[in-house]
Amino acid sequence: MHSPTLSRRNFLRGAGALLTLPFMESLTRVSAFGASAVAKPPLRMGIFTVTGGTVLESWKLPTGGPLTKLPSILRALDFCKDDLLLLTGLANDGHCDNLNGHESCAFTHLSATEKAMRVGGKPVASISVDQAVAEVAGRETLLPSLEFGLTGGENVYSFKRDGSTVPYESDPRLVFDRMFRGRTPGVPNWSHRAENLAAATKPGAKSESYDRSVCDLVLDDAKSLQRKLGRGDQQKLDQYLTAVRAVEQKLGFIESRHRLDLLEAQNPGPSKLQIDARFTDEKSKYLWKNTEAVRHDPERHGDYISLMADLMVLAFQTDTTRVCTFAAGSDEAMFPGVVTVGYERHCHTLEHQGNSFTPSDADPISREACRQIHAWYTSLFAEMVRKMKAIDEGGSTLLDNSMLLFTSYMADGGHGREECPALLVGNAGGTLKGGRQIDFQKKTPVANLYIEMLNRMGAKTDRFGNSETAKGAAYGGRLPDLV
Amino acid sequence: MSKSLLPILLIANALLSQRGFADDGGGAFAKELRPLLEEHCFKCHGEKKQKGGVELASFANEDAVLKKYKLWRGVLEQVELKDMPPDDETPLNDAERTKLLGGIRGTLALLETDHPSLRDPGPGDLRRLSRAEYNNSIRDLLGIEFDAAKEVGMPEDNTGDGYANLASALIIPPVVMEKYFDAADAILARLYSDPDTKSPNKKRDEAAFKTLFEKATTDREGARALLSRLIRVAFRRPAETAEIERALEFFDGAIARNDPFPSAIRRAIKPLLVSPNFLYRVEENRATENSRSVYRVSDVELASRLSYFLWSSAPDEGLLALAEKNELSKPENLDAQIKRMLADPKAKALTENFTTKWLQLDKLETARPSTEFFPSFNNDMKKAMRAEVVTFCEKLREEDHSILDLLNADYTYANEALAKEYGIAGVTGKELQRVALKPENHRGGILGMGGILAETSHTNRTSPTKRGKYVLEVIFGTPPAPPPANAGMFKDEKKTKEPKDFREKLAQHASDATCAGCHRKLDPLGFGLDNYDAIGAWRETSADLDTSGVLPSGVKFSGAVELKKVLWSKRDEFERNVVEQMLTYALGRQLDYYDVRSVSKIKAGLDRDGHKFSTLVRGIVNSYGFLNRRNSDSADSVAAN
Repeated sequence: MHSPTLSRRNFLRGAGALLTLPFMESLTRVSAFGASAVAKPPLRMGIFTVTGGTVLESWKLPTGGPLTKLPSILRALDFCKDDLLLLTGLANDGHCDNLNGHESCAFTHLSATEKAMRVGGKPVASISVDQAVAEVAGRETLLPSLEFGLTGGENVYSFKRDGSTVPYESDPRLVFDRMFRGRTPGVPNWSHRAENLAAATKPGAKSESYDRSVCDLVLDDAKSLQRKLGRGDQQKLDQYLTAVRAVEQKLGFIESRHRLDLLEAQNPGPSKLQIDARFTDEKSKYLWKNTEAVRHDPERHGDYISLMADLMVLAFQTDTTRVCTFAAGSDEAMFPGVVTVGYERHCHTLEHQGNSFTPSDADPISREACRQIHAWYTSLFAEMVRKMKAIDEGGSTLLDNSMLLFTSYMADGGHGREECPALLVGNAGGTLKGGRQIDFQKKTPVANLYIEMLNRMGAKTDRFGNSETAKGAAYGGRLPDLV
Repeated sequence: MSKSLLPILLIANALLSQRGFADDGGGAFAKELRPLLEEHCFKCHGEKKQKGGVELASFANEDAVLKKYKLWRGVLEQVELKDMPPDDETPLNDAERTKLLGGIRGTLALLETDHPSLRDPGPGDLRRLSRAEYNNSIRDLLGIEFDAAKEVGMPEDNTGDGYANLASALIIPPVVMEKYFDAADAILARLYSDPDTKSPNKKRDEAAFKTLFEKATTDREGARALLSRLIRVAFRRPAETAEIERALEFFDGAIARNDPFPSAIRRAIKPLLVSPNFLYRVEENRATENSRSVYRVSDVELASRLSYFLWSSAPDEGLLALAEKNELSKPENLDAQIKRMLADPKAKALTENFTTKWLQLDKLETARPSTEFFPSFNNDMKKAMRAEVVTFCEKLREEDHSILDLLNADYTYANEALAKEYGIAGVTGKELQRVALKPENHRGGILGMGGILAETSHTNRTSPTKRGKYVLEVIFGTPPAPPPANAGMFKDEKKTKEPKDFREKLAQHASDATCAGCHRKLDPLGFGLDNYDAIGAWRETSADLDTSGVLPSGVKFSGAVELKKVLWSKRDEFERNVVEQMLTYALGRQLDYYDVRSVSKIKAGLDRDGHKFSTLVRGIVNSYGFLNRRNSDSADSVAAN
């Protein structure tokens, strides 16, 4: 949080501006604590959420307990069985006002909001778990959080506290660019982080930046404009001011982060970066400008998901952000080859025909097709997990220091929000004990799970979304027995 | 008008002199109607229960009813069709029903009056440029055709089913601001080549500079001339001296560092491209007005309203020059400008961002029919089908046809392959061409176009439900409520017997009470269109194909030809919907109760003038909401943020 006593002018302007930026605050604070405070790698939170719900009987075991044999959709994760914590009984029953089935599920998905709607076309929900975590865990990284996935109707998942939605980036090149423009990707050596930070944050001359003076000028524009506007419009312009300040802030971040990168390059962490050529080479520049092919061709689709998943790994490995959400898949996608039963290949049609809450209501062939699609999603997620498990952060793996949530915005293809799929993966720095399926009482709010995640990420809270007001409110807003 | 309606109208008229419609006692509504509603409706639609999300108990007076007029139109329809109250509740006797219907109609009729409380142009909020508006404004500002928004991955504006220019949905989160900075860089990289590069644009740039500098004595004077012009076009109003000076500071700084002239210019332009004066369409508050007073927008503001409506772009020199002399709003000038603008190729934006969006043509891209079942439905066919709709809409504007042509026309546009699909002989070649339609072609209007029929179908079959929804939603602007969560495709039928065909299967599915309300409106319309197969080819009604239907109103028909006659008889409702849709787009906000009378007025104009497209546009430009604004202090504009 910014210090409320800090005047905006001081915050933004003048030679000392950099020292008051949150990133630098946290750097100086950390270095004051000395090396031991940061010798341990930080905890990362990744959400990998697919479209279309799941097929319940193939997603979970009939009863909770040790994960001996994995349900068929999850079988690709067999190699890391002990890192899996499968949670059942969670529901997301926030009230939705005149939204279609997909929007209802999307707006409530990560927000667990009490009420979702559109006002004048604009989606409305309370803050989502990723953004709530980013408010705290995002202060120390170049990007507070990162969101990407196919653009479409489905992925309105992330909401900020001020009610604005967070757009998802669909072009992997542009995500890579957002992360690494102006710097050289490197791996932090966590045992040296503190001293590197201290060195990087030595007060130096503020470099002259063209973009910063552009920001100054347009902020002036906005302020003089504000005097000519009514109250309603002033609020809109406030949003603009906040956005320009965020850009300005990032300019400062990039400079200091670049200094830190240079220092860390001298004694890098033990793991190597693997950067797919398609992120950088000239010929791939326009490869993903049009993602329509992804929807038609599962091979392209799989490629796309792998590449995006790589970005999450890179973001965590390089400590560019600690909060990342990937909206994978598309309800509109076609799955020839992945689906080998029946004739229907269109995901959305299959969901409606085969993926109802009660298996007996479903067309069995379509249901099998849905199962195949979800097993396919899992295999791609599993590749990401495998990579994270192979990254050594100095005695612990990146997966050990992560808390991944594998989920879907719907519970089932009929726009259901009961029995939301929720699989936690990773040791979360010793705060999760895997290898188990835990059955919570029916309709336990999914908000409880988000509270558990928030607290682990340092955003201490005992309520979130509809954790207190949901019909099935339970366990005092928590999920017992996760560790 | 029925006799029972009169007393209510008289009471209502008596109230017209007051600020709101209602007196303190709640008006005729409270005295006459509320007791009836209480007896027959509140049990399910009251404080305790709100079946279907409908709550009626909180409506205390006419004002409240008018503000939720859409809900009450629904109530009216349900009572008219005797859907409500349902069979298992206390029925309304005939006298009660007549009284209730008359009362609701009478109340809603107030919306057509000129009562002072309806003189509201709606919130005239600050509006961010939509993605399309941004790209077009850049094109017209700098003369480069370049999809910068796409290049940098500017997110699509999320307005759900609404038009992409809805003011309240156009927000600027930090990520989008970053994109505007990136886009400015990408744009400027293509603008004004440095002298030592071999840019393909070099010749063009040199020519551009030459014209600018012929009159200038120094580089700096040339830069000043250039920047003044750019600021005026970018901000859509005269440039202020201070703004020009500040831009020149950037130029001077770069020159002092020995930057070449073009890059110095570029550095002065970037701030313009991320300025709030460019990214937002600004309409200033007037200090002399209070929060309730309504005033005409200035001519300069009107120029922007006009150009973003018709061109999705900034006003050009012609508009600006006229506006700066305060002559744009003169009726004859306004009329001439509308005519000029509609004839300009830039007005294609109206087809792209309004007409085809309204018709939901985007869905054709993900249409489901597969080549496995429909071998001719390949990419070329999809393109031709799309082009048919686009061209039809373009010609509507260019040739100023009747908007009723969308419902029924004796022409369409097709190439050889598409004509073959339609069973029309004599069309050759890949190029789309105008094709005259005869009755035996069974086509004419949107609902006979392959693209629309295909995008409302499934992989291997038609979907009567989706087609019915299209008719209700797109053609008449009365979409059914979204299906309840967990509504399966065919999950909840109680299989008393195996369905003999698809129709029976659907009927079983729709027999569930929660589904029936909508399906009985949707499905008959769709079955009527079943003469068109999943990609729009004609097939005759036969033993295997039952295209008969009964609408909730009791009207019966069989097949697409008869259905079309039924729809044609409802052309007034269609036309009203077209007006509402375009007005929504033009104002960039959802319509409200005070817009109803504008819609009626515009529609009346269309009825007098052959329903011409240009009449529709002129009606909208001359409507109350388009020409007026109020200060953005009032509660509703704050709430909309």
